[in-house]
Amino acid sequence: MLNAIEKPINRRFKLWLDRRIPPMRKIMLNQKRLFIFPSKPGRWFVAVLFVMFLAAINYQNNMAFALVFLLASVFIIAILHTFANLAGLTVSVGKSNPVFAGDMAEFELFLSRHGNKDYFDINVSWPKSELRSVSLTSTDRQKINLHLPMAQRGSFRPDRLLVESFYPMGLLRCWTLLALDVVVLVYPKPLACELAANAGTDALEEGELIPVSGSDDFYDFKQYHQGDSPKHVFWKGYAKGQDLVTKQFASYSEQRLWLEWVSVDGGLEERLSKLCFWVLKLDKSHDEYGLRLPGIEIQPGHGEQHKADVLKALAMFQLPGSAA
Amino acid sequence: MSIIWQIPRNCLGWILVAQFALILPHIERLPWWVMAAYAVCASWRVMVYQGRWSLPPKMLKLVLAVLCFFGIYQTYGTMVGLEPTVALLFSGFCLKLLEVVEKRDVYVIIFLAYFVALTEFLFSQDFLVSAFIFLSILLISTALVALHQHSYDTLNLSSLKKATVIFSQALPLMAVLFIIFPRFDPLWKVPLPSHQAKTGISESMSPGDISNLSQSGELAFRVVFDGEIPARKDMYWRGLVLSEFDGRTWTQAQWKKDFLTESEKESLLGAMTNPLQYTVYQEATHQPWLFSLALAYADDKTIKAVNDFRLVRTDNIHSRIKYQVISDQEAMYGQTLSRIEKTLEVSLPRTGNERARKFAEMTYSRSTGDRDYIDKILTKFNRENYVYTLKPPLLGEDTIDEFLFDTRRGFCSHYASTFVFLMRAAGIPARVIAGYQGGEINPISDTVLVHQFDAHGWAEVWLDGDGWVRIDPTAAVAPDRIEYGLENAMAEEGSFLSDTPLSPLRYRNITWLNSVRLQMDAFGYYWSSWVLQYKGERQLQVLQSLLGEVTPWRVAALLMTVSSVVLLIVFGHLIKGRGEPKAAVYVKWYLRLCRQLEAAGYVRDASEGPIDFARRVDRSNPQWKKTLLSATRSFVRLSYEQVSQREQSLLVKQLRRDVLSIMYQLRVK
Repeated sequence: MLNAIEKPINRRFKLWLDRRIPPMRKIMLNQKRLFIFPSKPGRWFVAVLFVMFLAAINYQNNMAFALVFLLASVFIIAILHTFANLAGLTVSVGKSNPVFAGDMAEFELFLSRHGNKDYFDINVSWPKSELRSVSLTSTDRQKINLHLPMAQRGSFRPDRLLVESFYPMGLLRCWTLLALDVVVLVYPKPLACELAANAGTDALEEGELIPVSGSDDFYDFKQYHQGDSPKHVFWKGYAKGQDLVTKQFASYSEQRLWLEWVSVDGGLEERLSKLCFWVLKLDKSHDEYGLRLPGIEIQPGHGEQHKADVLKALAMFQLPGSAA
Repeated sequence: MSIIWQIPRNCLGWILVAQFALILPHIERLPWWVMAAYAVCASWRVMVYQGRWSLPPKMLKLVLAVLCFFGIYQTYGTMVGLEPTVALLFSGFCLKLLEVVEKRDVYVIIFLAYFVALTEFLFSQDFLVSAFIFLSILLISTALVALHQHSYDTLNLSSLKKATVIFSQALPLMAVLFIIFPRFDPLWKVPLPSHQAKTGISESMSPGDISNLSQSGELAFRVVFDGEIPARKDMYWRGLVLSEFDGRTWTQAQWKKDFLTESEKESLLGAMTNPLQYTVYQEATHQPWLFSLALAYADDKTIKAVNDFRLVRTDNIHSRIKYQVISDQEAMYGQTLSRIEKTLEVSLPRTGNERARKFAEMTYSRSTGDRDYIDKILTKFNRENYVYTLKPPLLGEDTIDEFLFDTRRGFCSHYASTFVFLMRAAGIPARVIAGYQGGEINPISDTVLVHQFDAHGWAEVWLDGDGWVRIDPTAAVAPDRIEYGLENAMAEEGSFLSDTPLSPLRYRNITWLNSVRLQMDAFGYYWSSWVLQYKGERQLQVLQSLLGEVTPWRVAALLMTVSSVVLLIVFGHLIKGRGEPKAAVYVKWYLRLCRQLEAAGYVRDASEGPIDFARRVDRSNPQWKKTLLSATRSFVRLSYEQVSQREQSLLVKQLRRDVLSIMYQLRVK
């Protein structure tokens, strides 16, 4: 019942917030963006003050009155001080690396000041992240790393970032909810599997079409076995008294593979997860691989950029907003 | 995230400092073991913080709490009342120290501390005490600030500085609230400090009672006369009328507690021909007796007139009070005495003090009348070797006999008591009056200070036709006491305030010290009358002088004006130096130019430099291209070249002239 009322209100609030504080890479906190309200201890403080006020009346004690008035004035003045502890700060976004679903994504944020006034105990958090408390006293800029669990593949935009402060008296809470223009790419969670037989052979055939490249791409050493070409034996090392080893060259094991929709079975997400596993596996073994999904084809290749492209295609497959 | 929260060391340090400051003013009042408990808890807490000890187990804390409870009950015999409550608050304070686990607990301690600070005002509001308590409140708030400064790991003065800044900014607001806020009547009855020792004149008088009091240099009350201050020898402050004698002690008679009716009270006022108006500021005595000159009238709901012509308060006096009295020292009172009263005022114990009785009968038979008899007795005191002393010998069973015939050394109580006995023995109605005599005039505040050592006992005798007449037998023995006060009377004996060697009153002969003492006293008086007694009439006066006419409207306007001015100034001060630094003047002018050009259709590209932009505009060939180039050149020079102060101002002027010129031309077009 309550939920039924709360939800539209929350949605309304979010819409209003979006208009008032639109998403940006770098946001400066000012009157327009900061909200202030008595904190829980602040509300208790008011209650204690009220009791003290009653005592002052009943005892007709002018010093007690003075004390109550002083603390009430301190409360009022503290509003300005609490506000000032966030005012003028700039929150900006650093880099955030893609992650696999199920892992924690790390976000890099920066808090910086413009003058030399001290800022104390500023709490920064997302609803599901840890809370980081930073002060800007000796430095003008502080890096904050926040972690969020990633449940689903796709591009993830965190909720509004909560920046709050209770300094100096803890009686008031000054806060803001910032929509930061920060997006992290979430790849499907890798799922170990075998490639379907037909798909595999198909891929292997295509792999054979490619001529073996020059055998001068050194890859690794391996223990010498009888029959190894003497050309590949690492004689220099042997001369220094080391074991006899044979040089291995990368082009030996290189294959070209097409990872295809039909190479794996299961539902949409399961297939993507399995393909993701193979992308990682093939990347590790320095194979060349391509990707064919309904409507998407990425030519075989290798390297970090290629891997990133393929994984991005997997992450964004059939999701709204994916750049097809 | 399960990082165990720890109080910032800075905060804990300030809490300990603040608590110590809070306990100091209470040291006299709190039982010693509360102090001990605080010392133990505080040091335990410090040890915990240094990682040497661990927090006490739950069981131990429970035992400690029960012990505190029990201890308080043992000390006060009750759990209700102000003192037990304060003791309870303090022990809660101490124990909570050992229980601080979460941030919430720190708030509890700090809010408790604010409350404790308030209770201290219920015992004393003197200037120095108040200043100290406000200092401890500042320390508490410092702890609150330190709680939100996790970046310091030791006691840091910057927390104190921040709290001081906040307090000083809050002061003007507090002052306005203090001035305008109406002082309501109490909403309900509250426990008052009741476990305090009674001070001042007590309800009964035995030989030697008043001489104890005379060792105290404390202020009993202060009097402000509307007109001229009467002569010292005429200031007899009546407090108690003692009519019952048991052979040793004079006490108040039970039947003496009848109050005058309103009409009888009013008739007192009518009897006065030469009224003397004055205000008494009486210190707490925890007794109801008030002090006034003879034939007193007070128009006050809390004050009653007793049928022996003195004033009594409806409640015990637990804090400094103020009351206005009208007196007439010359008016006669009690001319008619009922038969019952007459009988009671001459009654003596059946037996005892036989020698004195015989002496009275004999002397009275040789006298021509009551007045002659009185003179004879006073002459006896004056002529024979009677000594006025603060160190009288102890008396045995028949106090009057022993004093009158044997020891002959006594203080005012001895003389008053013996005199009244002799009167009654001769059948003349007489009674002992206890109160204060004289007082010191503080020329700075023009007030009369009556100290405890001014306590005095004298007699009142009823004479047909004259009513009750004051007779002071001490005056017959030691006229100096009445004329100049106790210090002079005891100059030879050297016993004045001999028990309190540090009392500044002992050093009145050192001029500068005395003037400091009188200055401080005057300040205390102004503090009391302007700050502590700021309510009712006085408040109205102040508000009237501030606002002209006291209406809710104007009061609200005063509050709003002061608070908005203060808040604006504070806000401006706080916000300065936060946020992006202001752009220089020439940047503003250039940006203004760009905006104007944009409106005219020349949009500067984000990647385009000012010169390139100017050249591009130049190509479209407007009339003002020369001016634009000149303005841009000024801007570029100001931005990227080192120019002297003089050149800079010239360039800015040039830039402004060019921009205005372009703007004008754009508008004309």
